Amino acid sequence: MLEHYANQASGLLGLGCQSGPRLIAMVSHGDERAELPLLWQLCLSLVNFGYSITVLDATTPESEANPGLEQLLENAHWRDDGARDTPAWAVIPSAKGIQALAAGPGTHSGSLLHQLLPLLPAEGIVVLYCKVEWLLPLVSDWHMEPLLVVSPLQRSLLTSYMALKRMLITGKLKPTIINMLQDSDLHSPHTALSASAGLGACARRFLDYECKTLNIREQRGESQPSAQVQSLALRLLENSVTLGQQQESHGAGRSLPQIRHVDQFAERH
Amino acid sequence: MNIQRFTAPTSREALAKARMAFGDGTLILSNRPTENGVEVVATAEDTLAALDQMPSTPISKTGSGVGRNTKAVPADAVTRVEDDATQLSMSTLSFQDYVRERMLRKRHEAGAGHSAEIFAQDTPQVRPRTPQIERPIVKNELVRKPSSPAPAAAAMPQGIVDELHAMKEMMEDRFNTLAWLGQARQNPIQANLMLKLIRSGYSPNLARTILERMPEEMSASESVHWVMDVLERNLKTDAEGSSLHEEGGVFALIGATGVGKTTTTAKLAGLCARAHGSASVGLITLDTYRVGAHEQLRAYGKMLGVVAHLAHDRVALQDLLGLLSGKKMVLIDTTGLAPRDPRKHELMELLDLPSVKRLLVLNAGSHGDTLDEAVAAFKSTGTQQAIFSKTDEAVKLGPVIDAAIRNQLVLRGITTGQRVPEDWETASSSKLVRQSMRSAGVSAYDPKVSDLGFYFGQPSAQSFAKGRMDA
Repeated sequence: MLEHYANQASGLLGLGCQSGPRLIAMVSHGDERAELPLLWQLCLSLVNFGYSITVLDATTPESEANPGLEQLLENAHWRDDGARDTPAWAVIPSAKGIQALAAGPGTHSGSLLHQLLPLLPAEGIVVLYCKVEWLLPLVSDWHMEPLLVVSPLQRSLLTSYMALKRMLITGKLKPTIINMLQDSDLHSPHTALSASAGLGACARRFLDYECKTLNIREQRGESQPSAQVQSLALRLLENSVTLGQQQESHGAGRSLPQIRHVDQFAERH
Repeated sequence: MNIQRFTAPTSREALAKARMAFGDGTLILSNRPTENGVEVVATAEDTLAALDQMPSTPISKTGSGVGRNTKAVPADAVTRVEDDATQLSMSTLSFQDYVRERMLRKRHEAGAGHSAEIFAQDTPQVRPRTPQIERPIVKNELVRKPSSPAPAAAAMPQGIVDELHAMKEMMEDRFNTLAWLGQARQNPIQANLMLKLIRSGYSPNLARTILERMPEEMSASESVHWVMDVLERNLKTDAEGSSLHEEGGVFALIGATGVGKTTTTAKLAGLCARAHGSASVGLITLDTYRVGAHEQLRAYGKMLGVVAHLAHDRVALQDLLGLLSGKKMVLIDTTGLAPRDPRKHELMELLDLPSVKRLLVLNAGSHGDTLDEAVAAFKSTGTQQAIFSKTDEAVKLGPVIDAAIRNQLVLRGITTGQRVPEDWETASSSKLVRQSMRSAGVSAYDPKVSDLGFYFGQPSAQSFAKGRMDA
């Protein structure tokens, strides 16, 4: 019996419910002051939950000195070689790679991201952090809720509104809007909430959309994410997209394009 | 008082003789085997009724049955009643005690108190006094104490009254029980079935409730089948409805510590995911107390591709229920709490949401009293639904079936092992009852026929609510 069953939940694995990595998206609209701390805390939470995280950072371009997604797409076997040494979480420069994927010839946004499947841990989480114009071609066919972060900066209000407008009109996506507060903002709550209130008012007036904003306090000196961030991480996971499952559902009636790196690998070997 | 003794080779014949003498209203006072057969002591119910109607004339303790001293003793009546009660509590149970206690009760209920009736301690027969003698005494009593409408009862301290009440109940119970037990012993089928039920873990209370209703003139095999049918009929399951994962909804698994709530949650989640896909399941844990509780559920969730959420309070729970409202089934794992843990109230309040249905997880291997306490502690309004866990570990299933029957639980499934989700079975009353009645070998805890008296001799055995029984 002990040899046959690895553990008491082997039967769950046999159900085959978990068929691919989960995808979470965060929109970058130039407000790194608010976006990066939240992204960090979210990743920390997810790692603490036992997931392996891969952040595809499309705000950083790949280079020879700092290779990233573009190189992985070209040389997928790199990932296979180092699979055993995969860290708990990895940040991969992905600007060129994501841009290439978004401009790719796929007929379906799901098929574009499926090229990432062999590069990612099967049970991990992929956080796609990129501009809204690159994000939409990749995820617009999926019912996901990208994360849109707002800060009290006036510029943040403008850029976040533009991103929101694109998501609602072009991508038909309803984002999860987070208002990031710093400790200094707590002393002037009117200022802190003015950006999110302004975004809500603009969305209501011009886009006929009712924003629901979640306020989260930025944690600078604390090593562990707050319960609020943990809850947000789980909520994002709940609304995430499982790449493998999407592949099955979308691929039911059509043939998916061959995965690029496999072809290249075959040609070279 | 007309009490007669009937002897016959069998109890049936002796009872027939008694019925011939007293008619349908025959009251059997005792029943014991003798060298020549069976001796039955009986009287007519009318005799007791006459005793009840007996006027409240005091009877001297020292007088004989016939030439009893007819002088009233109103002044020290209360004291004598107390003395009598004290002696009653010290004496062994007899019909005399029973009659005396009945009379005391009757007098108390009638609020008589007009005079204290005192029966001779050593007189086996009690006869009513003639009205001509007692009326003046009562009158005198009333004249002497006009301000006290119920002198004897009112003058008695409440403690004595309570004691008398308790004594009355105890004596009634014991008398009835002994009479029933005597009859049961005469019937080998009933006695063996009683023993079988108790050895299987069923409570003496439920066993007696069932066997009291068992029709006569049934063979041994028919009796066994009848008893099992009654048990099956009274063990409510969802066999006729849909299973949990087909029904769907929000279910909170509650129960004592270590009964297997988290594992059962994972099993149900697995069953729902297998039938409807992993996107159909939502998992929430409220267990912020046990170390690793969230991690354990999250590990199961990861295997299923389901996110396991954590709710710290009611607001967070409501928020999560809103988030997961599109799911076919949402399972809430809760902190295991001892039934007497004061935190239990907080948990029950937390789950007091209209959409949340509670599933009480009961460890099938627990002792009957433990199960009763758990059921009472986690009681909810409306139909109570339950899951029997660890049935594979239970030596006897009688206690948990017994608890489910007496508390009218609806059984939604059983867990039969550790494997997730394989070791889950839909609830089948016939299968469970059959399993419970299988002999489990020799046990040091099994009673013998001669021990049955101990089971039913205790007054507490009668104090349980018998519940509704479909027999």
